[in-house]
Amino acid sequence: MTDNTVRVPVERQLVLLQEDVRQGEEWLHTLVRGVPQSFMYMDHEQRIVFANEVFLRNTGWVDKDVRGIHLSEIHGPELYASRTQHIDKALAGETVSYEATGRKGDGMGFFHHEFKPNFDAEGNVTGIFATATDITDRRDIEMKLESKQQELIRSNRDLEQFAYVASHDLKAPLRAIDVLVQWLREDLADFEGGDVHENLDLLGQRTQRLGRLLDDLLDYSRVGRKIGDFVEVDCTAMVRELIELLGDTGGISIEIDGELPTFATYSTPLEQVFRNLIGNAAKHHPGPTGKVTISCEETDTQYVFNVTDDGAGISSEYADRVFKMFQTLKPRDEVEGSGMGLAIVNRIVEWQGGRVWFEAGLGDHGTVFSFQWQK
Amino acid sequence: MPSNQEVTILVVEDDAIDVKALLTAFKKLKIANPVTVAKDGIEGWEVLQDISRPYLIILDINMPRMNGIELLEKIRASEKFHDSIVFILTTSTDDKDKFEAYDLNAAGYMLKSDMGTSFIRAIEMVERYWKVIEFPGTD
Repeated sequence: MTDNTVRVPVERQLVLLQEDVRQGEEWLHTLVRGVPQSFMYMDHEQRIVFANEVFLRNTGWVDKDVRGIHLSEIHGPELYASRTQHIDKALAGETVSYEATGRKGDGMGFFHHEFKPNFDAEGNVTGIFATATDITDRRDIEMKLESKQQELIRSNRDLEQFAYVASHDLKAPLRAIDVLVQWLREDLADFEGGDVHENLDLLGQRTQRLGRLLDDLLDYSRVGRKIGDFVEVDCTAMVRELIELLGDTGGISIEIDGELPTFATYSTPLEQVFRNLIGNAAKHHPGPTGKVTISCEETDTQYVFNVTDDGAGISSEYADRVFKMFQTLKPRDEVEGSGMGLAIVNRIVEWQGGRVWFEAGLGDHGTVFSFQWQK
Repeated sequence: MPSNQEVTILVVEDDAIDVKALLTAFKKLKIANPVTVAKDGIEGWEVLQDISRPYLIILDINMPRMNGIELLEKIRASEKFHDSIVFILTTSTDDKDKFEAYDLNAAGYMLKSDMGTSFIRAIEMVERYWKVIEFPGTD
């Protein structure tokens, strides 16, 4: 009697255990079937124990029973040969991952492979779990990006060359015109008819202007190319030097308000931006006296520099226009300028990943030009 | 210069107004030495064949048919003319041109900026040069 009561629970436990195992297996199968990757388990002799549908689909063995079949037969001799070095490493106990082209149904694809060895209690490799993740699309995009980049580099180089040649070849006849005007002036020094001398003066000025426009056009094309060295820049020293170089600005005082940072960046383009903005502020001041201030604010990733003047101000309707090429707000006979300064500033600031803009100054008086510079 | 032989100047330059500006500079500086003008490297080489020593060459770089650097290469490779004194006068700010010119032993590399003062200064310098420096192989 006691024998029966002991045996039944054990049998019941066995049935329950078997049920657990079966459920566990079913769970595993569902999981493996459900993952989007190719999944396969082979024993240490490289015979397939289990393979999911994605694997079968990729390798071209759909609806076939692959259990017990050697991997070389699944892949074919060539493809298999390219895998052996990785398989051998995995069989030696290493987890291996690599990327390679492989068969994808009727065509080819690009996959990320992982081989994970399975160990028994004594540490021997009993088999390998193999997954393959389809990264064909990612590879396509990478290659397209690479070719777009090459295109961009080529196109930039062409632009630079065009601008160099254009300004260079355009300057040759300009130099000739310049010297011819000089000779005319000399030869006609005693001439007193008409507007000859006035016209010769105007001719000379226009020639100078054309020369400057060409130089500025060349500068514009060079943005992002001649960037100089990546060095530690002391902005206070840089701005002070620029102020000195500007020389006599009449009654316009130029000052630094607060602290300017010292940090590592490309000094040449930064200097160019400061030079143009500070020079503009001083040049366009309508009054006999005025003040230009340079200041700086800081965020996590950038410095925001401000160049403030108390001049005539710029209407916000010109917000976009001023940064375009050859745009001036005053006729060139009133204020000599090529109109490229802000276009160059814009190009430089954007090149290093920032923005430049202007706002009306305090009390709607004057202008503040601000630009972001990456740290 | 030991003898009283006058230096002959060979100007190799394709731009007519640059030539005119050079000749004007000579005139302004009251330099009456014999000056011959060739309009590119090929003509320059031809003129060189009959030139009398001592001579010096003022050479532009950007010219059609044969440019200044190519002519300079030919000059340095030749038996007869390899010791020529050559001054480069060019618009080219290309470092490559400057490097090649000095690599081919140009006596000096000068930039044409404007045609007035820069030419006068260039010719002034060249005149001083031939007044002080001993020229090679005068016969």
